[in-house]
Amino acid sequence: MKYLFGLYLTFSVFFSSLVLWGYQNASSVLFAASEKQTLSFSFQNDVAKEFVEEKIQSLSTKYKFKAWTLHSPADQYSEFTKSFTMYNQGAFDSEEIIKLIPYSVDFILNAEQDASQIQKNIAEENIFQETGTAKNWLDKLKSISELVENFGRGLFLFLFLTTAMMTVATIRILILKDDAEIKVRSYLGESFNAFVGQYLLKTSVPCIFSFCIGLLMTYIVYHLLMLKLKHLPEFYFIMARLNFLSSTSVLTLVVGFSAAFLFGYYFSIRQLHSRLYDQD
Amino acid sequence: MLKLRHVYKTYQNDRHVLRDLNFEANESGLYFIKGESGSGKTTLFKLLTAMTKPTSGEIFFNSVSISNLNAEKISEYRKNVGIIFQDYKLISSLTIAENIALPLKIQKLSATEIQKKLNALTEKLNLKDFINEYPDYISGGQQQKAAVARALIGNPELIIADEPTGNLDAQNSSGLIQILADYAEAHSVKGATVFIATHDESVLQKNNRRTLTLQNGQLNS
Ligand SMILES: Nc1ncnc2c1ncn2[C@@H]1O[C@H](COP(=O)(O)OP(=O)(O)OP(=O)(O)O)[C@@H](O)[C@H]1O
Ligand SMILES: [Mg+2]
Repeated sequence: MKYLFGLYLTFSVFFSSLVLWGYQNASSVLFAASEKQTLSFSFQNDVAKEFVEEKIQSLSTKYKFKAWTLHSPADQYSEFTKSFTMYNQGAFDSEEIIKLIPYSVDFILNAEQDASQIQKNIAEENIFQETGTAKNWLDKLKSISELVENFGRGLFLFLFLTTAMMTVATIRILILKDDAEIKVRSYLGESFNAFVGQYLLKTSVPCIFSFCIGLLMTYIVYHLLMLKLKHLPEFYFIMARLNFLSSTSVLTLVVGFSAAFLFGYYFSIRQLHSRLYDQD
Repeated sequence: MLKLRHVYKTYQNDRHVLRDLNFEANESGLYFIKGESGSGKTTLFKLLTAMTKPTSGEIFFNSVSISNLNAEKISEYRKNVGIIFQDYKLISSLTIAENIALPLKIQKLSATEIQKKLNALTEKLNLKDFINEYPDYISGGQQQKAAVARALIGNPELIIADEPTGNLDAQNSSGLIQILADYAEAHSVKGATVFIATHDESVLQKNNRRTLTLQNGQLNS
């Protein structure tokens, strides 16, 4: 039972730290996977190049974008004809077509910038005919991290509750095993605090051990992943954004599992108290 | 030193096992308590060791009521009481020496002090043949001696022995009672009080001592 409990605790620490780690890195990895956080806008058709450049310059200083790319109508036309060669056969007058194509611009945002908020603000300036974004992508991203968060919360709750229950069960079994001895010692004048201390030591040391092993396992997984990614240059951008558990995450784990343990310990030791020292 | 006043003990089935029991042990020394099976001897001893409390009435030890103690006070009180159980209650994972020394360890005496007291008692009770054995590998009589040694080693003021001669032959019974009587006399200045419960008439006849009778829930001399 003791070993089963240790094993259980190790794995629950392992799983919850993995989830926590995943959650912690989800946004940065997902953003990395989207390659860039981009807002794209199309100007009105009839605006002049000077106007376009001036507007881009002013927006860029206002929002402090990381970078921007301007696509002129001619650029877009040649991009377009590259893919659809038949239009290049002179069916249409290229000059006429280019006139129909607006200037468009991609703003590349910094990671911490709120794309949808900025998009809304820019749209209000009424200089663009169309504001496309990576918005769909961002929405998806948001729902994924929400999912991870909810899943993580559920898992934590489950693991904490079961850890508390397992603690109660383990200590009760330990106490039950020592029942005769405990009774005799209490008749010889052993104080309740001595039992509290003894069983706290007896159970917390293996718990701390299991906790460390669980965390170590997560670290090994993280380390192996990093080693693997190192050899895959196309994932370099992911690797560069991955971190091991932050101190806040580790603290969350420590506090959570300690709370579960102490909760379980308190309950089982209370029963011992009433059994040994409540005169009925 | 020990005083029981209007003590009642009633279990769930409404029968008074002890009914208005009044008793005062003014003198130290050895008391036999005789009573038929079911008369309440074990119940009385449970009250005296604070394992249970009276339904009503009060018990005083050295003028302090022991009927309503908290956990801390209970363990303090028990350090001053030596209990000899009918079934010995030795801890099988400990050697006889460790079993006997347990009360001193609980009282947090130093290892050298414990060893000194253990050696003295081993000598006095002649335990050296089996002092390093485990309880399961020695005879019932040897276990009995070990249980007595454990009750005496902490030098308590009060000794409670529930049917301690139950499994002993006549000679060993008398030997054990002599040890307890000697202890009661020798203990410090005031002496100690020793209660021995028995329903064995032959033990009572062979050892002519002060005897109290537990009958109809009351204790009479
Ligand atoms: N925990 C309990 N719950 C209910 N009744 C009990 C309990 N303990 C003892 N009794 C009852 O109290 C009465 C006295 O029991 P007790 O064990 O004190 O007798 P005793 O004098 O020690 O008997 P014996 O000589 O056989 O050991 C008995 O009728 C018994 O059934
Ligand atoms: Mg009895």
